Amino acid sequence: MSTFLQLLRIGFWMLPLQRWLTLFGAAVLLAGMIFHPPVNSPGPTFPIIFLGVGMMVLVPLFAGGVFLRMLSTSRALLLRPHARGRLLAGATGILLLSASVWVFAYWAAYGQAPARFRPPLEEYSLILAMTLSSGTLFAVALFIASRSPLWTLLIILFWQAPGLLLHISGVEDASRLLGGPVSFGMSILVWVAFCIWYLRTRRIHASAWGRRQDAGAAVATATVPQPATREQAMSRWLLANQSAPQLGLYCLLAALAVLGIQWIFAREVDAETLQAIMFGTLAIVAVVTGAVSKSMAARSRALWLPAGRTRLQLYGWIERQSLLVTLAIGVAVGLVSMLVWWLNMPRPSIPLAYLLSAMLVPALCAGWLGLMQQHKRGLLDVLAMIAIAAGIFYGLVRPLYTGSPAARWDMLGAQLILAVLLREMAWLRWRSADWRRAQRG
Amino acid sequence: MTSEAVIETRGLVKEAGRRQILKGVSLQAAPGEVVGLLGKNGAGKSTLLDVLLGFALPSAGDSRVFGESSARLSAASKARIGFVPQQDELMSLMTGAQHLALAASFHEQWDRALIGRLAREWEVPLDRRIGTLSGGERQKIATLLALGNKPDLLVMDEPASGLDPVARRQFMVTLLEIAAETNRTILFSSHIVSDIERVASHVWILREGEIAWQGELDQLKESTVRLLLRAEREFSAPLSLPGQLHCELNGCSAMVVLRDWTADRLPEIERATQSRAELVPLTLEDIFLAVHA
Repeated sequence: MSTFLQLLRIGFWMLPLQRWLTLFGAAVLLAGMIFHPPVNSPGPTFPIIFLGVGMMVLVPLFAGGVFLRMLSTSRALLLRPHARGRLLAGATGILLLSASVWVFAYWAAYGQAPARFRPPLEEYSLILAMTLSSGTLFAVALFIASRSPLWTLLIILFWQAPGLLLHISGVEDASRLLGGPVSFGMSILVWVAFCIWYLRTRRIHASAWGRRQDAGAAVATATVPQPATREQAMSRWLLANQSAPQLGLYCLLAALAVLGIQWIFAREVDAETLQAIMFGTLAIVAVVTGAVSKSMAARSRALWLPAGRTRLQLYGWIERQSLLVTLAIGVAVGLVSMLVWWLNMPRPSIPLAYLLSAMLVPALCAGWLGLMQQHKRGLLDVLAMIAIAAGIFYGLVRPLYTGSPAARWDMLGAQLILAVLLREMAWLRWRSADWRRAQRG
Repeated sequence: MTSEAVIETRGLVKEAGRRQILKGVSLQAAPGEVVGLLGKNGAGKSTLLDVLLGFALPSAGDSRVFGESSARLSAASKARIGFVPQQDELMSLMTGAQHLALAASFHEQWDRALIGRLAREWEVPLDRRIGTLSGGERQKIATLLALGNKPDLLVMDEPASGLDPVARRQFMVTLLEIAAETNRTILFSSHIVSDIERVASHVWILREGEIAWQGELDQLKESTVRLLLRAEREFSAPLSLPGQLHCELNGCSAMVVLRDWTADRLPEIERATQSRAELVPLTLEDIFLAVHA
């Protein structure tokens, strides 16, 4: 019980962001339950309550696997009596609790609705099963992804395979697959298999990003056989011994794999929805360019002395590297986009040039946002993230989903202005960079 | 296996690929002993500790802790062990207090008073996130985590390497107090020979995966001596005396380090080398260097 309470604290209360999410989510939930604002009909407070609950359970339900790996890597943990069992029990408890809160929210949202709109008991069990399925999937997938992202694809396929087979053979209603008994049973099976492995394995290794930070230096300095110029060595260090074309190739393969899965699952939905899903997913490339740039900013500290440059010269050089990576990733995404454009009949109404720009300009913004992370992270960064996400949604996903033929050039222009602002902000931050504080932050 | 031994290994072998890291290590530690594990970099110290605690499986041989196989320690035995790794494995997002609270939740017995006292004495900032702490502060938290369950066996891998001299001295004093309080066994590896000399009652010296010496520190210092030999004529060839670890010739004088020393060997050596012998005191560091010469 005590371990469960500690895990609850880690899941809901460890970081300032989690505390804000929990508190704000609880406030929104309470407000929704007390005031029943007429947001839509027939579920009067549905969005408000789910917004509150969603914020509360966001981290524990969807990032639990990452926390579990972080807590499990210590060797000293192996010497704590029944430690792994307790951690697993705690993680399962949090999953159950989050799923119950989700169901409770459903009940609370429809509590004041007329009787004919209230969902039947069967609906609640379906929601519970769906939430638990998603929770276990995310816990296992993120546990694995935090070490080796490619294995996650296998987990997703294994989890979805029975439902997919039923779906293809027309046995079951597609909308009920996630909460259906077969899919739910598979989730339990995956969770049990994971638990057995987790309890039996001797050593659980640290997350991939932690490992790469250490390994990158060794690889870059020790196992590179051919002599390298200073710039080549700096570039290898910055990209963890990768190169811009290699990163582009990885993105190309990952995009093809993800879109392939999406096409398998969603090919029977209407064309607009499928286009919105697929191109919207490709626009997530902004997260990749942001993450790579952020990693470059973090690694730049080690280049401060060997680079032989002032910090602004160093920034200029790293910015060029970041743009090269963005270009390589952009080319990869562009190729996949054109493939989707060519295969996806009927084609979207908006022009291809706009479509590509609407995917790549947010990636450019995210690249500079990543470079900004070298120093002084704060509210501005959160606002920039929201602006980029909003740009993707309103400039790309929404026009595709609604089938609108009008390109949102105004939105694109706004994002270009945002890109320029972020670039200026990154430059300003680098000018006053405090390496020590950046490391602590 | 001896029933009262806290740690006991027989012919322990650990291989990594084709390389043998441990080559038939046999050791024993009894309750109340403070054992210092000495060895050069890559001698196999951390691997030995890993196998002893069950983090890694031996390729051959047997390792037991509290009479149980290291690979299959029961929960009751685990509750009696504390471990401080060489590089702390703390979660950088958590604070020290959160780490301690989580660790305490795994144990039925957790000495909050001791941890509170040590945290104050060692000036550990428990309210700050681990990621913002210095290496020494993190090491102190890792040590607190190992002490909270009042372990009967405390194993530490280079526990004081990240501490400044003041903190290291304070740490060692505390270690001695803790060892003296109960019949607790402490096993710690270190490169800092003076630390081991100050607190250890027993020493294990590991050389290239083999035990070069194990036993009481006092006995080691008594049985290993340095002789300054002064002869009438120059020494023409290197000396080869029984138990000789190291020899330096310098014209008519020679400095030899001998093991398995007993006082009655002196006349015999003087006769054999045709010189006058003078005993020169040795520190543990001298012995360590001679063993690795």
